[in-house]
Amino acid sequence: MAATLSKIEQAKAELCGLELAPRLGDLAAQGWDKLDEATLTIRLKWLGIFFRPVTPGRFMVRLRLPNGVITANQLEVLADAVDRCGEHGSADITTRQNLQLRGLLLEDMAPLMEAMQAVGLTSQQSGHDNPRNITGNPLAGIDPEEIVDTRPLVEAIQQRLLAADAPRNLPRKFNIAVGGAPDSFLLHNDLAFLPADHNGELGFTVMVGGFFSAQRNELAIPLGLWLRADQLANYSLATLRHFERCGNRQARNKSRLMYLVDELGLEGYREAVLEELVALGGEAVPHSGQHHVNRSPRSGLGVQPQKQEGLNWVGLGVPVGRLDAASMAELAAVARRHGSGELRFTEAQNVLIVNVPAEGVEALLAEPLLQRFQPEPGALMAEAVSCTGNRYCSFALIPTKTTAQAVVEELERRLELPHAVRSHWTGCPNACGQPYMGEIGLMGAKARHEGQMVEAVKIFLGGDMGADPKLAELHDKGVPLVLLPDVLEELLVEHFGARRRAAA
Amino acid sequence: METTVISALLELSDSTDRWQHLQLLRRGRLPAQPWLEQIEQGEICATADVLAALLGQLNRAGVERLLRGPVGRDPAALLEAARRELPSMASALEVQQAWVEPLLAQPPTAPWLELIGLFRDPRGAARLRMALEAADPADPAQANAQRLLPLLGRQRQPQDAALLLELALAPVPLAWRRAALEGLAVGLSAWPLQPLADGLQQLSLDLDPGLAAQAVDLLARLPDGQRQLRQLQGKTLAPSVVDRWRRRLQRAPLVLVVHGRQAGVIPEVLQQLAADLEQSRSAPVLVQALTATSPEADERFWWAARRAGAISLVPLLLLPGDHARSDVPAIARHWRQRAAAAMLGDVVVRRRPFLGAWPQWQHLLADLLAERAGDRPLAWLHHPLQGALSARYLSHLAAVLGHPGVATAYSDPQAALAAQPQPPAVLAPLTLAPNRLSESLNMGGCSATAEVLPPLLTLPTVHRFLLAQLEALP
Repeated sequence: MAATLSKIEQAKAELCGLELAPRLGDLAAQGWDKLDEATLTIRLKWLGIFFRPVTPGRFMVRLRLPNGVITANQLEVLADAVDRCGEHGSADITTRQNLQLRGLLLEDMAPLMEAMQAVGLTSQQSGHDNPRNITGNPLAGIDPEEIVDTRPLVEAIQQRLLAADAPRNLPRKFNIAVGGAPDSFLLHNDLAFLPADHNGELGFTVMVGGFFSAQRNELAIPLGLWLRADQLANYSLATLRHFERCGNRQARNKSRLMYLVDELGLEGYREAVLEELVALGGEAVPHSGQHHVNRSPRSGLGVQPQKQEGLNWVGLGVPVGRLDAASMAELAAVARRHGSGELRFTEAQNVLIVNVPAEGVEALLAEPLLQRFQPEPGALMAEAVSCTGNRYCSFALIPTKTTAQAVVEELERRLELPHAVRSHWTGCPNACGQPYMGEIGLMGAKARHEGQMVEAVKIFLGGDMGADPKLAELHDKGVPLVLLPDVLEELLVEHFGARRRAAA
Repeated sequence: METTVISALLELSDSTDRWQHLQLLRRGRLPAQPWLEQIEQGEICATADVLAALLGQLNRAGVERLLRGPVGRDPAALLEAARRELPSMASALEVQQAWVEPLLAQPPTAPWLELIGLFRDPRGAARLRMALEAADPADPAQANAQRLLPLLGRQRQPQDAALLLELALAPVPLAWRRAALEGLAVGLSAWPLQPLADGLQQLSLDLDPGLAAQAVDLLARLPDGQRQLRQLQGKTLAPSVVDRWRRRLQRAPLVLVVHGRQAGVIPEVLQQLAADLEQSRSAPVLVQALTATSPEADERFWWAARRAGAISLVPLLLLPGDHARSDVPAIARHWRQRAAAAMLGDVVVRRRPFLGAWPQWQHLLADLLAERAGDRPLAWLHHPLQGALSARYLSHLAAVLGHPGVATAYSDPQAALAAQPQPPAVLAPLTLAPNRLSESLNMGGCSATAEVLPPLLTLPTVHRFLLAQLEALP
């Protein structure tokens, strides 16, 4: 039987990466290039530690931040870790409301894990074939439009899924999210719980099968089940147990949940998971799939009143989600100085400082950090989302983040836009930057230009995360990067109401 | 037939299709042999992305064939592919078996040295060492050789620490020095400790702040890094490096024990001192009033305590009264219990002597009073104290300060002053922060007949002194 397993499946079956945790110090002493390939590139990801072939010897750590919530104390610990890496250190806010730290040595891992544990952080199972960071409404608990506070639900799901008896060898990665507001667009997740009524009671309808990949892109579809809030953790566990047992382990490019749904049929899949749920003592009822999510996500930027009288959140645009040690430490200090010391990360890779008393807003807005992370960034920068790019990822065909930032800045110099335009930049067809969700999607490519093969992008248009969601479609299959500002300028004028600024 | 298929795949107008086919090749889902043949025959162009997909799929014979063909004659694309792809697979036995011997058979020149350096192999290490020893960093034509330094570090051969340190410290182009230091970084735990620590200490003082900063960061990672960092105290570091050095020192959180006002309110000057200290030490600072309950210690405080292995309790008390003799030990016991309850097994609570006992403090006070009084008679005022120990302290302090002390009730200093044989022209209440004594002196008419000095911590000299002294605590 074992002989039929792929290399990856063999590596996972032989040893669970979590068992490496107590040996991190020893592994560092041996040197990273003494580690076998499976440990280096697969098993360490169970601890959230990523070998980066593009920066050999300098590792990445991906956290788990349920619902994107982080405290100033926690952020300070992470800033300290990045700071130790000097010019090699940086951090990215991810599209899963999460944070990943770059530039770390293997020697840093044992003390970092200990420091994170001391402040209630973990990076457990944040990579590879695991349930990834669980997302929720970034405004949970403070949102005047909130339907339900997603924080305790997301926390409960994480606790259940990281418990010792939960699956640790899924066939593939698995994304889960919980919606809590009318703008909780979550259909790109394998499993999404959207707020919905059943017989006048508020609970969640279950959506399954959303994912993006190089082969196929799908939005999640209604499974036809409704759950009470207290059932979400059990249901997630039931789903993962079934996926662990029945998911496709032969072809990794056909192993996301939607393929299993296809294989069993929606009804067959529903019955199978229900059986698993009942075995866990849980319950669900049939449902139409109607839910309360009906519009595109708000950016959350700027000064906004919370539902708590006299308190505000202040959303700051972080250009393409990139942070350095100094800005992380300063964000923590600002959150502590002007708010309650809590921050939130959004799926658009921005940050919110919450619980800012009305009388403290002015002082916060005067902080020097806000010159860099602006509460009211330009209409393009506000919602420019980007994957890592080829500086750190060997799949990427272009330097996504730096390209996105440079092009967006150039376009904002040239154009005035009547409203924000969401652009999603990704370096390769794996689509980590979710190009199909953007009003404009851009995917790294190669194209011929003046007789040379050059870095380029494909352009997708029309992604919609509103009441009638749809994926962006291919508009142009290869625009060389050197021509991109001009091409996008035309598009923005033609399709998005942009006006050219008068020449200086 | 195959020729047509592969060439067509690579020339597809949609670059996503090309990318996907190369991913299939990289994952072993397409046979490598036809690709190799067509590269040999010049039918497909061996670009870096094609070679990156092929690298892990070849056996030794395949690699030898590849290197005999156009790829071997111009290895630039191979090098680009290898830099991106090989590091994650270089530890796989089959990849080593395929590549190491054929690469060792190549001449020991730049691209081949870098390629062999991507594998961890003693023979490869020896080649890198030899090449670097013979290289002349001053010759711009040899600038590419600096790329070999991090690769030499990754070989983790202890004898190479000397060469890497020598180059990191040498007056050679900065790019060489940085590459050598990165070589030390990526092999850090392999190097002999003492020469490494000495070299890094020296580099911490370097005029290039980038180099010095990385050296400080690496010192902090050594097994006795904190001791090594403390040895930099007082050395001339670049300002940006000083900040970094401070951040790397794992300083214990401080608990400043002070006299509070009514209901345990902490005077503002003490709060400001704590805030300034917290910033300069990069470690939490709590202020605890003697008469109030212990302040809340958050997770950051406990994390810092665990990291430093200690909590420092500093009584900012000026006299050895009951507070210093009884209350402070009780407060220390309480913090030990809290540390135990927080399951910080190895954390010790270090109780520092009360501030009034510090010789530097006494000298500062003497200088300060001398400066303020000039030739005028001065008296320093303090709360009455009981017992022989207190009496000895007061007599000692009077000798150091060169002025008599006057014990007085805080609410009515006039009575004690009236009993003085010679009325003082300058009155110095012995208190750090505003309290009932300082307020009584100003409100009770004393200020009409004598100059009343403000509470000591409101004087910039005292604030600076305490900041410096407390910042220097481990």
